[in-house]
Amino acid sequence: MAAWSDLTFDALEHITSLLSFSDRYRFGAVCKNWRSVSKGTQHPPAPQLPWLVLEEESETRKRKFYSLSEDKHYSIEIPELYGRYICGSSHGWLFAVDIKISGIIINPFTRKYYELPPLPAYHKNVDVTTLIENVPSDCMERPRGFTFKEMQTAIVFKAILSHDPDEMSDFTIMILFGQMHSPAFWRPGDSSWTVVDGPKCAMEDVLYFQENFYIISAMNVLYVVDFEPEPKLIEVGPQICPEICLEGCALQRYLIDFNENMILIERFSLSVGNELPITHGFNMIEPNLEEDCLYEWYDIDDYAIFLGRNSAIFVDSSDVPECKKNAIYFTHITESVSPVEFGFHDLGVYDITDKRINTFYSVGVFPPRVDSPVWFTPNSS
Amino acid sequence: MITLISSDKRKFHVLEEVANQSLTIRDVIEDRRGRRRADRIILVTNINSKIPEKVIVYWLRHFLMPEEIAHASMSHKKAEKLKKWEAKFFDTDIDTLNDLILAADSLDIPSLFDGACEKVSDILKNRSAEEVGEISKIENEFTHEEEEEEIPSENAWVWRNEFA
Repeated sequence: MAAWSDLTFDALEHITSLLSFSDRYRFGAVCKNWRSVSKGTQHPPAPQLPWLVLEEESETRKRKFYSLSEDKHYSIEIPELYGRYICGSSHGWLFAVDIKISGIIINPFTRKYYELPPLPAYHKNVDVTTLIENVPSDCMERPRGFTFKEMQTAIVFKAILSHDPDEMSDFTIMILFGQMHSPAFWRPGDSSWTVVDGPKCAMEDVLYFQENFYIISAMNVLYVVDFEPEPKLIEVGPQICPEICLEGCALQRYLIDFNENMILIERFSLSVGNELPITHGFNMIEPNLEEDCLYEWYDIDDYAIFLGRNSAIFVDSSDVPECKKNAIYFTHITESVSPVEFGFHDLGVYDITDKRINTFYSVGVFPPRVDSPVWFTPNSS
Repeated sequence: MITLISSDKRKFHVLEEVANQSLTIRDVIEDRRGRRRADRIILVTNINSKIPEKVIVYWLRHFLMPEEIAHASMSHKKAEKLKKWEAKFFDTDIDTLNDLILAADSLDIPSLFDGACEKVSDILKNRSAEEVGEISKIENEFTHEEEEEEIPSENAWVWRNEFA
């Protein structure tokens, strides 16, 4: 009988190419030879559903991740993320901000990171020093000011990368910051953030699509970022009628590059009484820039889309058996500045075919938390 | 007819058309065409007799349903049947799979190689490095320091497959 250590490089490489990210990591920890194979291979890992980045463990400060494909939590020691909030994820990198409003981007698996210059002031009347660390739940008299937790979506609402910094050193980070979610960008070598000039209305999402950054406003106007000579927003594309929102109904817009089509996804939420809004459905529209017209989309075949504070991700369910097809997985984005702790009240998967919403995690897996979890595609190449 | 000889000296006689599924054997036969009968004997020294037996079973099943036909015009029902048969064929212990990979690698039988690798990767799925080490009987030669250094952030979760 031959030994496992007799397997040739080709065979080991073929096996690793069939393993998912986490299985490949474990495979590489078996012995030195296998480690060199798993590190040296050019094959991307077998597709998996994205992970969710959760909050840190309060005692150990380890960062918690949830792998949807494996229905498993991982707690990983990443000191760079201690005390930070995750406001965005692209290409396996996380954008994280701490209480002093300083940001980093980091690939938590290669541990490569970039320290970013101080973020632009998120509100002209709010000074960083007014942020308070935490309000104990039994505190009778609440200190003045807001906690970092409460303000985090107003500090940076979303952050995306144009490219994987490991593949292209000349990348751009675009953030939506402040009360109006105004765009600003940073490139390696810049000493500060550059704010993009634009209309004074709230922005809702940003997308890097065919070498340009696109931003959608709460008024359903699409803009492209024009970098030269002075960075500014320019209206582009066909006119998109704003959806009429009834009372108690909220709308959140997302932009996604879906197989080289730009799709605007509208997410409808309804709140009853004083309850927090709950997602009820989605609409998909393609603003076609070349033809200057709009196309309604009614299905996405075998694909699933993952929406949240990340660059939207899509997965082909025929590659990942546990993935629902023609579906939208979503997480909530905390927008309310509320001292009330609430749980994972609005996580789910929307079936585009029958328009139903289901949970995607096992019952009891998620304890109620405050942070909005962020979808994330681990990448250690 | 050609003859395969395993490491434990057992002989296996196979029709040339069947053995042709090994690209290595096909080349050897091609090279030795027209020569003496003794040249039609191929030593398969790195594998024991259990494996040629399995390989031949695999060949025969696939010979009845050649690959090209399998992909181009095989009916859905037949494809399902072959899939079921393969699932059963590869449903074996991990050491046999390892031998099959080695045999498929040295004899150059792509579909057998792919099938056995896929089954091994299925077995490795969701297992901690410790478990894989036990199954494969591979010694983990990382020292503790190296483990810390080389697998810094992930060692805990990699090793224990832990739940939070």
